[in-house]
Amino acid sequence: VSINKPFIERFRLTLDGEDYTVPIDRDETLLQAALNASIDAPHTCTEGHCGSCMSLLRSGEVAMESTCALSKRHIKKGYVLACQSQPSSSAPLWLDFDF
Amino acid sequence: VSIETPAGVKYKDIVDPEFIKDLENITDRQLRVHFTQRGQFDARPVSLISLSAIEKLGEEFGETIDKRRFRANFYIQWENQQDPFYELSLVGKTLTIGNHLEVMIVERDPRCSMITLDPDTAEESPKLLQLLARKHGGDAGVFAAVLQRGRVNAGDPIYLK
Repeated sequence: VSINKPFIERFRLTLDGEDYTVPIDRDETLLQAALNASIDAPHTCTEGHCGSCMSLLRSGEVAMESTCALSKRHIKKGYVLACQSQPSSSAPLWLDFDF
Repeated sequence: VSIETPAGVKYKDIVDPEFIKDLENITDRQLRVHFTQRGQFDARPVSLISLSAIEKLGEEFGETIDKRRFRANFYIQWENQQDPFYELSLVGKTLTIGNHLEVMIVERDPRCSMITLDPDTAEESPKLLQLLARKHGGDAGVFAAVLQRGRVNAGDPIYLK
């Protein structure tokens, strides 16, 4: 466990018009946290290739292992791959699948 | 793997930095060569999808879907099949198309964001990929390998061998 890693305990997730508060553990991706909370978040490959989990980061900051399925334009507009994203700051985080 | 681009430029290896730079210029995104054991898209020689599957996906999506989004080699009209996604049940089976061509269905086709692009305008519909992921495991159509070569024509019959 990296004691210096920014950490949030939960984040906001929007899907199908519903808002969820999702608990997240250290080293979990946003997608893993959503699935662990039994939220039917879109995903397929979980490797950053397919783009099924593309979502809009409305607030907060994440680090992504891979951005293969995103164009520069997507990234500039704030889109992320939930399967590749981990919180990278302690700022409140809001992930929107209904973008 | 040797490569020749549509512009006629040849590269001796897929990891050639000049090739990657060329692709980056075309796609306007940063790229890298990545080896993976899973999630390999467009890695099979032949793809098939039924018109009934595309029509059903359109119903679920709420608008008509242009079949070109799926970039298949064969668009199939099944007869006497209740299941609009019948081709998904054919993995491991062999089809005869026309008089000579034989293909084995080797796996379902895991889709990526290419299907979200309108073939005429390139407008994105990310919700289509979300729907496919959530309702159909991300798969649409199937990949096949050629067992026996043969000439085919539009409208040729397809038989399950």
